[in-house]
Amino acid sequence: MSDGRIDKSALKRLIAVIGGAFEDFEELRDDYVSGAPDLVEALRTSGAEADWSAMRIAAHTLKSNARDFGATRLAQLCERLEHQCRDGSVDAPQQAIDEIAAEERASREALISVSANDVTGD
Amino acid sequence: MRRAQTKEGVPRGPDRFRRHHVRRFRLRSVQSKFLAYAIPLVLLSTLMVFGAFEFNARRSAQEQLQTKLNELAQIQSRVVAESLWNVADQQTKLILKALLTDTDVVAAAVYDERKTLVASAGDVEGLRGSRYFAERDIIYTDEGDEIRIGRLEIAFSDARLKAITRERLTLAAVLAAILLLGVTSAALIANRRIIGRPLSLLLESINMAHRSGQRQTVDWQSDDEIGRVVSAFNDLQEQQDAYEAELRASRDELEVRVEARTAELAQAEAEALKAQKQLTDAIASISEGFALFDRDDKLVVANQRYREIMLGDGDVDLPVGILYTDIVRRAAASGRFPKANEDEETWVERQVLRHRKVTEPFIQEVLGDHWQQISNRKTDEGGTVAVHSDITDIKRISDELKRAKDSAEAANEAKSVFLATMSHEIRTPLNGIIGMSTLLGGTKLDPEQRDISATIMTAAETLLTIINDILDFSKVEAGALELERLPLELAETVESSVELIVSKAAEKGIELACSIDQSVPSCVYGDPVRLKQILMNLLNNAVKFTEKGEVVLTLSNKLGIETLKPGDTMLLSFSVRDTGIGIPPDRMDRLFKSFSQVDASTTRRYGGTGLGLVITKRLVELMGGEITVSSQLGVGTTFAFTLPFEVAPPPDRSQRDHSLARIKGHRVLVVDDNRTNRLILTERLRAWQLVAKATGSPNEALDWLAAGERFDLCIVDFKMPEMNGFELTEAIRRQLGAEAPPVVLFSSVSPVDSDFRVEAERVGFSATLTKPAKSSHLLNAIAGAIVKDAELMTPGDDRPDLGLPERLARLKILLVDDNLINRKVGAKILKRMGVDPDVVSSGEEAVTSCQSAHYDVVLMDIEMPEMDGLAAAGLIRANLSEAERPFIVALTANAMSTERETYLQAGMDDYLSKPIDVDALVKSLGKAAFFRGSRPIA
Ligand SMILES: Nc1ncnc2c1ncn2[C@@H]1O[C@H](COP(=O)(O)OP(=O)(O)OP(=O)(O)O)[C@@H](O)[C@H]1O
Ligand SMILES: [Mg+2]
Repeated sequence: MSDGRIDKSALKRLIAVIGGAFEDFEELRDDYVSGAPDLVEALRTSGAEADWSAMRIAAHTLKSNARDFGATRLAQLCERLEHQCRDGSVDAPQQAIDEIAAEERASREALISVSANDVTGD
Repeated sequence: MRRAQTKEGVPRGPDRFRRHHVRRFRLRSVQSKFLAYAIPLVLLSTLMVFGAFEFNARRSAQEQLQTKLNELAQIQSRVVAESLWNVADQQTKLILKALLTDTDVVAAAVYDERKTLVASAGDVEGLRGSRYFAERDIIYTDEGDEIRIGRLEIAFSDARLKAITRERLTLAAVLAAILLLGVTSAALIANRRIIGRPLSLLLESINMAHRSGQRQTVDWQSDDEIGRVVSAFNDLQEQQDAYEAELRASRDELEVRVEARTAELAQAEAEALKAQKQLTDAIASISEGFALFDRDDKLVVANQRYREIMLGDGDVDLPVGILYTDIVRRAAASGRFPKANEDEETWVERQVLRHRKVTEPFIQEVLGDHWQQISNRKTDEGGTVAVHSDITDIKRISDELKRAKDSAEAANEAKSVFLATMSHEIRTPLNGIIGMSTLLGGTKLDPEQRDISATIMTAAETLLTIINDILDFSKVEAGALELERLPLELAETVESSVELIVSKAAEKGIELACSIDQSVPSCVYGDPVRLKQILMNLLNNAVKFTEKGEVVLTLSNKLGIETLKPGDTMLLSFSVRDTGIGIPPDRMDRLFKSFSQVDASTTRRYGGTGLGLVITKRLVELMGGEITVSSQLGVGTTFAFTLPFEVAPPPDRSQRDHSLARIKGHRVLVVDDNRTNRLILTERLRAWQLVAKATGSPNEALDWLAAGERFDLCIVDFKMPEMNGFELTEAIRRQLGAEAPPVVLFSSVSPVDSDFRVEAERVGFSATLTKPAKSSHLLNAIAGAIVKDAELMTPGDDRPDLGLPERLARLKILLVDDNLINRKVGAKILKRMGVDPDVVSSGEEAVTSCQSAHYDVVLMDIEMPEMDGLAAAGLIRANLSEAERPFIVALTANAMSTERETYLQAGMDDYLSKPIDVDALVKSLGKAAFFRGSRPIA
């Protein structure tokens, strides 16, 4: 079960949009679960190299995916970082990335525990 | 000589003149000098003249005497001869005696031949010694013989001669004396008259000038040298006078000036004194503290107020010359300045520094929550003017204002943040609602459930519009709305605006018409998105507030000039007229106010926020126009506005021209019961050089055909009073059989009406068009119907918002996204719709794919590394010809509607926000299909 980190309506919407089959959703979720840590890693590398454009893309991608999977808070954190990268006003990237990493881990775990019942009910 | 003297006498200068003046009378005068020369000369010449004369006179007297002597001797010798011969001595004596009667004769004697004295008379002794002595022989003639008989002697005396000489000499002396006298006096007179007088006049004048300084003209005229000297002297005097007069005049003038100057100075001094007094008074009376310091920071002047401010009421002794530093020290000691009380030394230092450096005016706290503003100014002389103003009140007000401003700004910021958040936070669930209700609509539902889901759908859509409106409004309010300048195809923009409300109008059974005057240029420069927004607002209102009748949009060239070339400026008049409820006159003024609706019941009955017209009005004004409204309650409303535009070069119309050439001259039958539509349609057909015949009655149309009239094409309306479009079409086909012309159906029927769709397919039309049709669509439809070999268009192709995925299945779609999950989600959605997309993960791949294969639609993610969506879209467009170009839809996760415009302006054909909303995607694909369909027939 989730701890409220995951917005179920977003998941329902995603499932509806892709045709309503939970298997399809699971496939996507697997992609997300395996891809998200890589994106966090990408954030770290780009942060170390101060490559704001790479960081922006990574943050953007993670934001978009998090939003799809109802990880609202994660999406917000990523969006903030993305904007900072775009405006060239990144302050304390390390802290932001740490925050994102923690949120990503938590929401990932929450997401994994989502079962078909959670999202196909009313 | 005379000249030299004169010259010497003329003074050449005062000194010289004085010396001569002394000698003039004592030593020499011109006259005496002159006489000294003249008299000896006269004497000498007189002597010489008289000498010569005397010499002559004496000689001739002596000669005369001698001659007389000789003649007398001759004559007497003869006289005596007789008496002698006769020896009559007495007689002889008598004769001699007679001789003595002549006074000149002194003695006479006669001698015989023996030299004996015969007779004598007078002094015979001295006879022989006399100076005048003559002796003659006495000859006696006897018969011819001359016989010498004696001798006669006579002596004359010179006494008479001497007397005459004496007389003459006396005369000469007298004459000489007279001559001398005459010459002398003549010389004197001449000298006086010719030289002396003028000279003395000159002298007199000179003396007078010398004595009294008065110059007198010397009254002397003559043509000689003296005259010239005098006139020269007079000239000189005159010049001297003139010179002196000039000198005097200038001296006088100088004096006058000096006087005036003195007076002026005195006045200026008085004025300066007065001004100084005034200044002092003014300084003393101003409510500000005022002090002036010299360049050494010593006090020059300060008013009472300054003393009070600096030192308080008690200590008022502030002597001129005191150093600023000392004043500040005393001020600090007075305890009147809280800051000084904290740290006196620093405070004093700071004051002195600010005083010396002259900074911006600054504010200082004075004990008792008073505040003063201190402005220091440097004077030209390097001094300092200090003005201390009590700004306690102003400071209080400004503090309050600042607080108010801060909180207003905070509120405003909160509002902006709120709006932005709202747009995002509301849109996301809203999209969910819309998506879900679309999905719901696709499932099996009973009528009641269907109704409910439809209501949810409309409500959500309305909400979305409202949110967009509010966002726009806040942007307009903030002045953050900027207009674009892009080529704007008027017909396209206007018609596509109309098109968007077609379904709404159809639902209410309202006729929609769009009339574009022929003189309207095809392309101008402007902001198509915003123009569309204006038109949409007006059209939406018109449809919203109209129950039956029509809504007509007209577009005309205000000035009516038809020959416009690119670069010309022209005025376009737009008007949206409806036959709706109208607006009461007393409510007109509230129309363009934000959040105002004509009356409260409007909201209840029609919904809306009352923002549409405000935004519209602002947009129109931003474009340089003004919007007006005229309305009659219960009859209808017309909104009109005129905008200036620059004419742009017309877009490439070769395809269109080609189509026009092919349909030219064909006969078209128009059957439509709506008069406005009929008129607009026939006019458009005529403009394309078609021969149009129109009627509002299907029966009349059938009559015309029955009477043998033939047409190449029929355009029929669907909803008509006598029979509908289907029935009319079938009637025509029954009547003419194989000869029946192709039919294009016009309808305002909601395209989602499946009964209609099925029926239309059954009857079979060359094309079905929703009213009002875009010119390009109409043209394509007509061309497709008339040109036999052209592929017949299926009815669906012209319907933009079918909402039926299977209709779109034929589209070839390329999905571009760098995000794996997005790619998968997108592909799944499309597959569910029956479309099998090609998927690539970068901009570069998208560009190559578009070159190697033909796509109808490209769904392009914007945020991608390396080449982003905009760049990729630009390349795809650049690489392909107009006909090959796909419809490119931007996909982004950014919510602001501004971005939407940015993308559209950057060349994207449409825009979808992520997460993808199925309905929006379907609509967009519908547009894409439409876009393909409206392309020229290959
Ligand atoms: N064509 C019209 N006929 C009659 N009344 C109109 C017409 N257009 C506007 N109005 C009146 O003017 C009011 C303001 O119009 P406006 O477009 O600003 O707001 P709205 O349509 O009520 O709401 P919104 O457009 O924000 O959804 C309307 O509520 C209506 O009362
Ligand atoms: Mg409105």
